[in-house]
Amino acid sequence: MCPFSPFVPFVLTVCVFLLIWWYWKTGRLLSIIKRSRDRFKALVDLSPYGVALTSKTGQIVSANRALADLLGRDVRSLVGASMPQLLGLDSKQIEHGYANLSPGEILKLPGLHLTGSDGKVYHLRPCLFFHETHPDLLFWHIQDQTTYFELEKRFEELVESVPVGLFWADLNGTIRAVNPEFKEMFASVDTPSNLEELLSNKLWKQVKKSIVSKDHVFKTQIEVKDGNRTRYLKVELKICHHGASNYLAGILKDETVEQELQQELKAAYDKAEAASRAKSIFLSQMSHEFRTPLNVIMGMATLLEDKITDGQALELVSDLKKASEHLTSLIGDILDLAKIESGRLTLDEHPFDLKDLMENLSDVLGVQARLKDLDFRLDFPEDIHRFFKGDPVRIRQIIFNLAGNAIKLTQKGWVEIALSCRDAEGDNKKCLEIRVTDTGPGIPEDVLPELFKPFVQAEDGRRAGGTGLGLSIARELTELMGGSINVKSKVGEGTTFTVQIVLEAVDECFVPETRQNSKVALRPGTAIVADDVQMNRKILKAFLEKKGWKILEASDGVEVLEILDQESKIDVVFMDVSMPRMDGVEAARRIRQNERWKDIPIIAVTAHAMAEDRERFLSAGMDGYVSKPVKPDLLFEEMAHVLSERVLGKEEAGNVSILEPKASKPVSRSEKNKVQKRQDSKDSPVDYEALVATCQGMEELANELLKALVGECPKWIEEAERAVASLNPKEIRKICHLIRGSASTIHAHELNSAAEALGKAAREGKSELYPVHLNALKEAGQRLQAWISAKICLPDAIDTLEDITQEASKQKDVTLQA
Amino acid sequence: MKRVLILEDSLIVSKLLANLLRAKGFEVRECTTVSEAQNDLSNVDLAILDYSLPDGTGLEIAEELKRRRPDVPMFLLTARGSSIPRDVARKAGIKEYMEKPVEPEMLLKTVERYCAIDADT
Repeated sequence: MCPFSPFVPFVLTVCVFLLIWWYWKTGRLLSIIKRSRDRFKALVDLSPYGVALTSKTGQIVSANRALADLLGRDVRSLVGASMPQLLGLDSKQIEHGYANLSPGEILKLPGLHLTGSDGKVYHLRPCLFFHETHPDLLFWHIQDQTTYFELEKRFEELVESVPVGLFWADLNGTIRAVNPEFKEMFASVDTPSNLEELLSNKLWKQVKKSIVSKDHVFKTQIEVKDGNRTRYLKVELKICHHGASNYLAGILKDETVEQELQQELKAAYDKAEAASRAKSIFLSQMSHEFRTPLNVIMGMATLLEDKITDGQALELVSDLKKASEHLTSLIGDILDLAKIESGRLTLDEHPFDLKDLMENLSDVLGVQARLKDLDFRLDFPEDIHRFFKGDPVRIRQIIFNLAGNAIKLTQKGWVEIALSCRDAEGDNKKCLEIRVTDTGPGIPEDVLPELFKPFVQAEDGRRAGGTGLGLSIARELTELMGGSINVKSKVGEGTTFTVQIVLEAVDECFVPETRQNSKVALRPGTAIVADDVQMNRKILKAFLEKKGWKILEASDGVEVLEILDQESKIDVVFMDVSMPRMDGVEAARRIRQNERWKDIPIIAVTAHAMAEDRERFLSAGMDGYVSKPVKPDLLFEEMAHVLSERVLGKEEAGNVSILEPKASKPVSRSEKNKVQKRQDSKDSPVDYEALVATCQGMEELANELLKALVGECPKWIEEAERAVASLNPKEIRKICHLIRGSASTIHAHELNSAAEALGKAAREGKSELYPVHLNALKEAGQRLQAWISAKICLPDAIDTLEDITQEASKQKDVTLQA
Repeated sequence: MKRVLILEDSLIVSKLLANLLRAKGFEVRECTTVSEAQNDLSNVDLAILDYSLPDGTGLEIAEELKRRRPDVPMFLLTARGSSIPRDVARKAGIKEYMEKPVEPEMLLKTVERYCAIDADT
């Protein structure tokens, strides 16, 4: 037997175990390896990138599915194919390329295009490298950058073709990239290399400050010289983020055309503005040119009226006056309308009294209505706010135009103005509604839309003598005030115009003094009339002399100053504005500078009737103005206003009427008149001059009246005594009234004022004053009778009514024959 | 030509106005009381009436005249400061309302104006 035989089964068992263990280990290793291999296989196979292994010459050893798909081939068929060939690469290039390649270094080949099996063009980026473990193999990665490439291409096309300049800059301001258009914009100068150059130092600083905010877009405009043209470029830029870095991107837009257009527009606007101004000056001059001869016509006609006694001739003159008045209104209306249309009419807004305005207006309109036997009504509710801020002259013009039209066109019935007021939006704002209604013929529907156009008139309107512009002006003015005007009418029944304007209601205390009622007459004095046109002086002189004024003439400002220097007592100066050598405004200024003359009233007489002119006169020191053509009543009204203000100071002027016509009441300074002609009249009981004037120059008539007075006076005195004795105030007042009526008519001012005093005492119930006043009356009567007797060498008293009237009829024969 | 009636209690005033009108070619009749005026209102083309009269007021005549001869224009003369409301006067038919002392020129012009209007119609 073998000595080893007992160990053999043991060794066998160990061997078997070792085998099993080894097998198991190997198996495990193998599976690990297999798993690893599978993992990588999956990685490679499923990679979207094309992955391949090739020999050094490019022969494919293995490739993944992606590459196969890309090349449109089967994976297995790729093995052995030449990579360079497949990709269309130059194999020499590759060899050279990787010859210098160090392990791990990646060689990036330029992008190439490959038409895939589906016909699409792919853009591929191959790169290759080798690993030290496999020095004979090349590892290939092929990226499909088609989408990226497309986007990039599109972007590039955009950048190339877009009609704005694009640029990118870093945060230091260095311009990194620009598009061709950008370069084009700087064709004739150097393309700026940084933003400081592009924009300017100052602007770049601003950019740096503002650009911090992500959404802020910095906008500006720069100028670039291009030959002899200047290009205007709009620049906009903002900050952008790209991954971790920030940069600035911006555009440049050529706005040269727009800029030039804007400049042209401005030039055109300036031209239009200048034309408008020229038109306004033209209008103003035309106004002057028209008004000057009109003044002459009107003045001459008025003077002619006084000289004519023949009834038919008087009618002719009356027609002449009417025509020139019409012309004056027409010119005024046309100028107003032209002013409004050229936007040159401005509203002169200030606080005013609406009630006063309406009552004043009603007086005037009432007269016109009465002439046609129409009823005129003003409906001014008590609860309407009274004081407003607005342009009263223009508001009056609107209402006057509407109501005046209504009166002109209505043949029977009535015309009414109704006011109403309600609150409006805004502080203290009220909506004022003015309704002018008439019972006229009405306006046909087809005429209504055209109604407010200039010179559109129904037949009646033209016949009634309107200018045809009244409604246009009313509408334009209303709209200028931001209001509205509309009309309702029914043929055969009547018409209603409704005006609505929003005005600011104000407090009473801000309203300035309203004018003294113009019923006062003036005590005559000495005046200077200055005008370079002799005709104008003549007219004004005639108006004033008729009222007893003494006139000194001057033909320019220099002469006015000379006269003022020589004469001591001048009461008022009438100054035309435009005169040679020295004009009215300058003369007024000089006058005010002189201590001696700083209180002299100066009234401008002018054809310039615009609001700006008025300001000019007043600031030069003038006290008032009258516009040509001069109307006597307006002239005297202005004189009354100016003279009362000047003498008493503004507050008193409103209260006291010191300008009492014929009474010798407690006198104030102004009543010290210097009319030489009247020296004697002033002291006598009867103002004989005035009486003769009242009798239209017929001295015989004046004497007749005086004779009659002598007859009546004793009867009056007797009556007065009886009344005083009975202490009956009513009777006293009655007789005083009677005496005053006659005495004032024939300018026996002493008697008049004596009777007034007694009557006043009776009115006030002051019976203790009766005897004193009665005595004064008696004395006045006696003085009067004595004076009259002396004056006309009275024969035996004529004391019967018949005698007096017989004398009167003899009078008539005489004058008729003459 | 035109016949004017003047109703005025003041002799002086009446005489003055009558003469002035006659000088212009008018025929003038003067009355000093309401009853005197009442008697002959037929031959009148224009009336100038004083308000306060010894036996009444001018408005009485005005109303009478308006009834009989509505086409005749009438003027009322009142003292200054008189408180006769204008609409009362107007209702009575008064066309012109004048305060005394009347300015003769103004009166004459007004009279002429009314005659002119009359001529138109």
